[in-house]
Amino acid sequence: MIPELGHLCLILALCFSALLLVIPPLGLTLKRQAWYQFAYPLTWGLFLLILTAFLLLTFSFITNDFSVAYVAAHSNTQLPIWYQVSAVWSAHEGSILMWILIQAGWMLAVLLNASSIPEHMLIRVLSILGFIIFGFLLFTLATSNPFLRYLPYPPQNGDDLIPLLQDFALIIHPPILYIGYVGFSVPFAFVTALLIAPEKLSNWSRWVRPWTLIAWAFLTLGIALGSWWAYYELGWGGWWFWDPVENASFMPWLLGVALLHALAIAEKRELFAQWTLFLGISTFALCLLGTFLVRSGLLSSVHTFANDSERGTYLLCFLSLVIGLAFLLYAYRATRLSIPKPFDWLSTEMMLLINNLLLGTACFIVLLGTLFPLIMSSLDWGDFSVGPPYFNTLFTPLTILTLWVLGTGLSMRWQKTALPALLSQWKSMIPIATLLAAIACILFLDHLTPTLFLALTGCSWVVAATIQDITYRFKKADKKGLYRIRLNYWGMHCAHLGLVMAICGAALTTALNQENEVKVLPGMITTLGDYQFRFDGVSRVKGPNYQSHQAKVTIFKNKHQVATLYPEKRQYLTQTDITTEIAIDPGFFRDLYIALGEPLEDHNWTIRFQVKPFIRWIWLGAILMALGALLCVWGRKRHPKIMQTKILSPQI
Amino acid sequence: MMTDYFFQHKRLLLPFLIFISLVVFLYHQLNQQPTTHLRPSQVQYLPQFELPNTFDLQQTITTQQILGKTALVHIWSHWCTECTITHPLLMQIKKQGYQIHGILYRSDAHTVKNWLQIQGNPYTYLILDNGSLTTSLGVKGTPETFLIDATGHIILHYRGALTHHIWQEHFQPMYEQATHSTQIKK
Amino acid sequence: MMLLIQSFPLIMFLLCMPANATLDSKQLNSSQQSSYHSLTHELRCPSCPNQSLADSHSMIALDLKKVIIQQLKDKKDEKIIRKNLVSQYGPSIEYRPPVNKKTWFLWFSPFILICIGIICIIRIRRRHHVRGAYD
Repeated sequence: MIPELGHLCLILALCFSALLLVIPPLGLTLKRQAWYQFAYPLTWGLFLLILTAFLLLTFSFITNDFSVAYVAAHSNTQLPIWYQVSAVWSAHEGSILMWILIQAGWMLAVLLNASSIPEHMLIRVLSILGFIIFGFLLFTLATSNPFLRYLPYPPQNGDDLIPLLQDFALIIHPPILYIGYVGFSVPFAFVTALLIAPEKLSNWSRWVRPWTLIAWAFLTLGIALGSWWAYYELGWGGWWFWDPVENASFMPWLLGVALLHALAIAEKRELFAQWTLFLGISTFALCLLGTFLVRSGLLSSVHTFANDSERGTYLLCFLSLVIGLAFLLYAYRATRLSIPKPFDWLSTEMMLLINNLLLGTACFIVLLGTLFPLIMSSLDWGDFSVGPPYFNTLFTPLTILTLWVLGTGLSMRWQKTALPALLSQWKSMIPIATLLAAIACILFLDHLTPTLFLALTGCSWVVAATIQDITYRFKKADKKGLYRIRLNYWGMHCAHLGLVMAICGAALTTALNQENEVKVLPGMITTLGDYQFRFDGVSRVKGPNYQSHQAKVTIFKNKHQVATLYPEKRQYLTQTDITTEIAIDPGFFRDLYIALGEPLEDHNWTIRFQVKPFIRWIWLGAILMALGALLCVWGRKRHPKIMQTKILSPQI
Repeated sequence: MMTDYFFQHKRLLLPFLIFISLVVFLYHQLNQQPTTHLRPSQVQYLPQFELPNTFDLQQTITTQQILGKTALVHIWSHWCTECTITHPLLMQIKKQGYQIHGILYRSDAHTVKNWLQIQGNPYTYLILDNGSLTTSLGVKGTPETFLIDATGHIILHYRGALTHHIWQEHFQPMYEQATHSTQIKK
Repeated sequence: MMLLIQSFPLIMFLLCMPANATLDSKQLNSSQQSSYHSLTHELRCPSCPNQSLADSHSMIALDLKKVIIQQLKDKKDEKIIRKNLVSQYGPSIEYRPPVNKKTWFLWFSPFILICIGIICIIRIRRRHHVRGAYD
């Protein structure tokens, strides 16, 4: 009964979204208020229906209703309750349902925070989002219904959740990533709405920017969580593998950054409308393309979902319909939305254009590298793999270049920067940057490679530019004025410093990483850098739904005990395979990372010790970036309510 | 012209065109038949080796012993279920008078000897290997099957369990042809 | 329980049976060690979905690592080992595709894109200069 109810909710939601797609736009053309305002109850209804469906599926999981095929395939009575809940979105069907729920949540959020948006634009945005959600609902019901039954003979117990996925990060990684991914549909809807009915560009970008910032912040957090999860769960000690699935989320992230900066120009200077709209459409296109690539099984990846070419075909058709129409509309209407205004070579506009060029190229590299093996095999030119060496080779110079452009860009002004003023700024920036770079280089002198040197100097340049900009602000403002500096100003610097921190972390981890895979006997000591690892033997441990071999390793630094770690080899009761559970001693400056290998004869084991300096900085940097983006949303000027409401409510 | 009227700036159509070509390409990929596991081998000739004989671990088998006659070379392991499924087919092929050599990958010679005594032995030579020969042949997993001619030239390479269909469609005709051309040379 | 080729879901990669052999890369001198490191990180495990040799514990990866160590001990050059493996397993074993007629687009199109972008930026600036006026 419960699953059927959920199924019914989805069907009703499909009808609601179809109505949302048709009636409000019709109302706008026919100028019937009741018709177009019908969008509001429809949005609410859509959200509530999907939420109910989602909760009902969760209920089926908690109550171990194995007559539901999806539950039987991904849960088990022995599974702890929080994993039973997270198992809802651990595979294809449930994660698509979550996608839809989040989409409905975004629609509701837009509806509830629309006081400054003109009504016709809001209605159009909701309708367009309704179209997207309609497509996904149809997809779920037609090809991947999570409520399908396993009748007449349901299994007594379910298969288990894959052990790799029984993990805290997995509970939160997909929802957060999806909030980001799906969130880019909001700027997309705004772009399309703008193309249908033109508005003043600066106003428009003021409405879109907060949504883009929030979506991007969540995408950043989601990617960082995914990277962290891969780091401690997959057991190889890497934090980024350039795997197709990672690339699928990285591409919209890169274009998202470009979009945010393009929107900044559009808001402040009303320039480059066509480019901004193009970015808005492309970012969402890449989100959909990523979903398609991951779920069609076209690319071989570590994280593949169950492959099904029917699903792939549907998603591709939907993708081409949504994005194809948007690009056609773009080609038809994206003319004369902005008026050209001159800007100097030395200006913020120019620097942001270069920033967009670099980010666009980066995104192109990721896309090309991901699709290249497919292209080659379709031309019958042989099998190729494009992996980390390719991406790292091209990304390293691009990242360093971006740092220099960022630092320089921070010292620019809009429209025109006077050369003497710029030089005087640089005069105070250069000593700071040199000092910082010198300190960094001396600290890591033993491992200094040209790449590390360039990365560190680039980072120092950005930090110097930030310090310079803040002091400039402080000098300009009087004592009271300090408090008047808006949060979004700090948000910008926070995000930039986050980027610097993440790049520093990545560069230092790569250059300073130490690892050793050894054969050990109990009592043996292995030295790695400043640390001594003592292997104290292996014991057998029983967990709630697994058994494991647990090793004990004591770590010393200068004869002082630093940590005791327990890496494991786990055998889950319902699975045949053995998983590796890493043990990590985390630290701000270094992680100690141990992966237990294989048992050998005579109590020997293979074990891998790693010292990973500064690896936490990568994720802390990502958190700073996301925080910065959210501060920008928070600290925005509360812009006046739109004219209509002012006119409607007479002032006393 | 219509397009000029509707689309004043042709370059604005560029994103649409690029996007559509990408979609067409992906659609084409999606509907492509999965590539066959029968493909031209990367390796041209059977490499030189000297490895233990499974039936008599004191003895070794060398490349020279294998050459001189067209033969199938079957790579398998006793713990691999797919390989054991192929076994009856191999017995059948052997009965028809074709020559089969085996490369036994990472397996216990004693267990295999007993197993073959019960199931029947289709192999003229069964070479015991721990990865040196298989890697030099470009083997990715067991089972895989090669067809070599009298000079050791690799004619066919099939990844996965050999089926009756694949044998009759591809291997058998090539086998006959290879034997024939060797006889002519002689 | 052995892997078949290329396309398989997550489960199959977990099933990669680890082999009980240790790799003793300790016998190599330091330049050989660094060759070993770069080879195992830049070559792909042929039977795994998307893993380098260094990250994989599957049997084939261990075999290949053993082969690499042996060849390094035989004083073979890193480039020759790479070439040998490509001749056995095909170009898809290399994570860094070679630069040749087939792959030039992969390696050089980003530079071409940047050049086109720079030209576009110059033209955009000029257009804005001609058409607009300073505030």
